[in-house]
Amino acid sequence: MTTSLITPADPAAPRSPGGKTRRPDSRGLPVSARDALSIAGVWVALIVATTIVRPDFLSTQSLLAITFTMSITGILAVSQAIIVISGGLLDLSLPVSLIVSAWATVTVLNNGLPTWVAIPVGILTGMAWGALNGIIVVFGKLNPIIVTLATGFGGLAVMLIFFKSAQIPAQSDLRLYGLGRFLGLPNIFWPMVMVIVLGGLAFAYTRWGRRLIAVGGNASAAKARGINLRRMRLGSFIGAGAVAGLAGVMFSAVTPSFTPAAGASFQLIVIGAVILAGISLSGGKGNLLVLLLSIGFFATIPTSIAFFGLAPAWALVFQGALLIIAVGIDGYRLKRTAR
Amino acid sequence: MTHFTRGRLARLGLVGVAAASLLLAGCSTVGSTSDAGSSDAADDGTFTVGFAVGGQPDADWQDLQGDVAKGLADQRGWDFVELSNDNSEATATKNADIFIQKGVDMVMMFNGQPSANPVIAKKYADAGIPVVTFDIAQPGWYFVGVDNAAAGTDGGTALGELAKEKWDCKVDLVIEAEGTAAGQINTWRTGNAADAIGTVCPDIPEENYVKYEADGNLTTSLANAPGVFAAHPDAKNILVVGLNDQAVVGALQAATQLGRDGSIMGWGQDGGLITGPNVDPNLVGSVMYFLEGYPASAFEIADEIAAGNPPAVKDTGDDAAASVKPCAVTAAEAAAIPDINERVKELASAPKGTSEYDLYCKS
Amino acid sequence: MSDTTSTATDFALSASHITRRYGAVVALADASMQLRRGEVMGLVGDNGAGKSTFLKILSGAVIPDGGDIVVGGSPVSFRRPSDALEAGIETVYQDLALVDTMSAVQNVYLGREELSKNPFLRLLNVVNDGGMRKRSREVLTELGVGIQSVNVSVKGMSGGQRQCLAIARALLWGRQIVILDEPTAALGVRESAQVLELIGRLRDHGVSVILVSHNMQQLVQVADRVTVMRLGRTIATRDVADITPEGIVGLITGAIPADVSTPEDSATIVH
Ligand SMILES: Nc1ncnc2c1ncn2[C@@H]1O[C@H](COP(=O)(O)OP(=O)(O)OP(=O)(O)O)[C@@H](O)[C@H]1O
Ligand SMILES: [Mg+2]
Repeated sequence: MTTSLITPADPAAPRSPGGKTRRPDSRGLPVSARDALSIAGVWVALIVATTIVRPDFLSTQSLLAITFTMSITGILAVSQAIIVISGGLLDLSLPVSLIVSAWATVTVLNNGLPTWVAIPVGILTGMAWGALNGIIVVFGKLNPIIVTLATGFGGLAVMLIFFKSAQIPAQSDLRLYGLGRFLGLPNIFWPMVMVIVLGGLAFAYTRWGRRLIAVGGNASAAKARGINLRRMRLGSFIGAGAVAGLAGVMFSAVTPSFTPAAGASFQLIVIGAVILAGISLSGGKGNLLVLLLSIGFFATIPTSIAFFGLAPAWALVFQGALLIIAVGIDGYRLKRTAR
Repeated sequence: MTHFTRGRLARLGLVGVAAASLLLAGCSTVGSTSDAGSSDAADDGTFTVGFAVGGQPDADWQDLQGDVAKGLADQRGWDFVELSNDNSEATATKNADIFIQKGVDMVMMFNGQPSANPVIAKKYADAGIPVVTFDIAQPGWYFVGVDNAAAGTDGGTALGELAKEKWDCKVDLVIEAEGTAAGQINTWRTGNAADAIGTVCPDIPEENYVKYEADGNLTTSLANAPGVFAAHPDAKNILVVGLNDQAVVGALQAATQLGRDGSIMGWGQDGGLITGPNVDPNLVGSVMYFLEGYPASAFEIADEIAAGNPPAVKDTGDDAAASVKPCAVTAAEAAAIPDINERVKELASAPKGTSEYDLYCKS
Repeated sequence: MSDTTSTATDFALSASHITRRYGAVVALADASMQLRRGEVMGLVGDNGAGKSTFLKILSGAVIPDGGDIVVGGSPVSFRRPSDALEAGIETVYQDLALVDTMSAVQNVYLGREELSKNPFLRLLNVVNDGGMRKRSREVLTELGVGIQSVNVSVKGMSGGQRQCLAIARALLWGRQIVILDEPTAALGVRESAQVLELIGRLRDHGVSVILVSHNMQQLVQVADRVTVMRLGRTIATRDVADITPEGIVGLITGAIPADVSTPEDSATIVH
């Protein structure tokens, strides 16, 4: 359309000079490997710095502290990552999703039903919550950030009507599971690892994962390939909801008593970990194993601060600063690769 | 859906996240619509009290404050008008207009959105109506609140006494589960508790006291506390104090996760997790405030106003018009205290001038 | 020159009297095209003549108000892009073709990923990456599409490589008809040559191609016939052998009268 009708040769300025490798991305290591290395680097730097100040940092106690802190954040981060990678921007109602699932789990147990009923109910509750978000986003053609902000507020309000606080039965199997260990690490750490590995494999090696990445990376292209955008988007919300539901189950196992607002403190850390992992908010990109590193790094911060003996408010300052840095890096990555 | 520029919108949205999560953490804005009390304050000479409950949905003590106040007004043969602030600035402001229009003789209120209080204060000042405010101070209003400084000291003293009795004051670690955002209240409750432990057990070295951010909730506390235990791997006898029960229980749960719960005792604040079937076995006690009983203190001020000699206005937390006495209880004692609805009933049938402290804390 | 003597079954695709309006704007007043098997059909016209709209209708992205489409002898009615894909029509969009964050092979197989041969993995929806990689390498080599590796993200590739990849995809998937809307518009001279060469190879493989271009020189190089559009109508179809670039331009601008009567022709007469 830029060309006049009767030009003899193609005068369109070559927009891609050289036509060869122009970006460092396509040379050497894949982007995700570089992300992995840089986050692992920062993490190791933090560990080394802490160890220099306090050599006893390298202990099983620290390992327990960090792996425990990673567990629920990690599962939630996978849920958030599914949304972000598939182009759903962000799910701001994740804290509600977590608590609503935990509440459902605990309610089932408090009614004397067995654990094998409670766990599926918790996961299904998360899926239902995801489906609600997905249906509004997909059929209302609305911005997911606005929708989940609204459902997040609405969901909290409804929960406040139904319960003030919820307690898991102290002697239930699930509660005992939450207090136990496997291979020297907290029990709840292992479901997190499993979710990350399975999720990572699913994104990398299944048709479902491929298409989700495509929808997030370039929805028009995916649609032109005959991929049903609605079904994929709805699916991503429901799948992410199931993962959030599992987080809720694990949360109820380690938290003896929780209120409707108890999920709020996960919000920023989860988003920060997702963005720091190079899972771009523009969608279509992300590696869950890098996410695992990112979560590990975030989870190490409070422990390091305790070892440094810094004033408590530093934990919040650090995490806030990290989030800003992560968003900045994401913006920089986008700008650099825009063209 | 494909038409917005994702990256930018997402980052824009992120800016909102911080604010949103703060709001989520705080409180929501549902609640029943305010229903004006039935009795209209005609100028029949009867003393009329206007009472605005907070209307925060997850805090039943707020509604119960209204019930207690109603009972106390009935006891005195006064007229009583109750409204709910619905946990909202707008409703709180509107309610002030309604009270003024109804010609009440004084107002008692809890407003969880203090940003609206200066406006409300101006309205009442113009109308010449005295106000009692609960928990949140406002210049010119009688301040009624729990004595947080005493609450911290009482809890710490009780915990210190236990440590003295059980461990002969050999305490390896005193953990302070801070809620920095609560400001002065955190200093009173958490700081005074630690100081009180030091008074009972003066030989605990300074470096055995450690603080961490628990933000007044179990989830944050449980996320940050494990590091504290890891950083003090040799500590055996451990004490925990904090801003509230949630913060303290978060630390106790972290101890359990790290296998450090062999010899640990926590003393909470506010009594939120000290009753019920699932009390943390290491939460040995807490401090109850009987928030629903605030009106009992407020009505002592009201009595003087009604008698025609209003007391001097004391409007700060440091110098309160009436301080609600906190009540440090062990887990066993807490179990013996009736539940909140029962307490409201008993308070209504108690003789004039009785506080809940008198009913449940004089053992 | 006229195709009216042939029956519809001889054609890969036959569209007749397609109309489409956007509110008051008549984007297509009456568009028809008979596409033979294994030919490259140029589609030309001034800006706004309705070329893109016509192509979108043939690729299922836009639903026509009226008219008939017959593909391989059977009438079709496309409601969405996947309908056209199923009927064997592949469309290459200039900007929307590829997912930047995915590799060449992933892009080539997008929406049609091969599942693993292992029945268990297959059940788990696991794809056969090795097979897809091998096959896409074969096809790309055969078509002379030069890319460093099918495994790197397409983001780093040149415009020509990307365009070739998107076109090659059509062949890999066994499409009978490929629609290209200005495939060389953003490309340099050498890259354009690559793409034109590839179009020639597609024809050699028996694929029919519809090609929109504003570049007459390129068009006469690669096309067998051209269809000219003016103000929402297809007004003439010519064998490229019978016409010069200047002749095509004459048809486009109206300097040469149309084969069919058009409103503006009569307007010209009145004038
Ligand atoms: N979605 C739409 N909404 C409204 N009008 C449209 C739409 N799409 C196309 N049109 C109008 O239909 C007419 C034909 O447009 P079309 O894009 O098909 O032309 P074209 O021949 O491809 O032009 P170009 O050479 O500039 O690409 C134009 O007047 C255009 O403005
Ligand atoms: Mg066009």
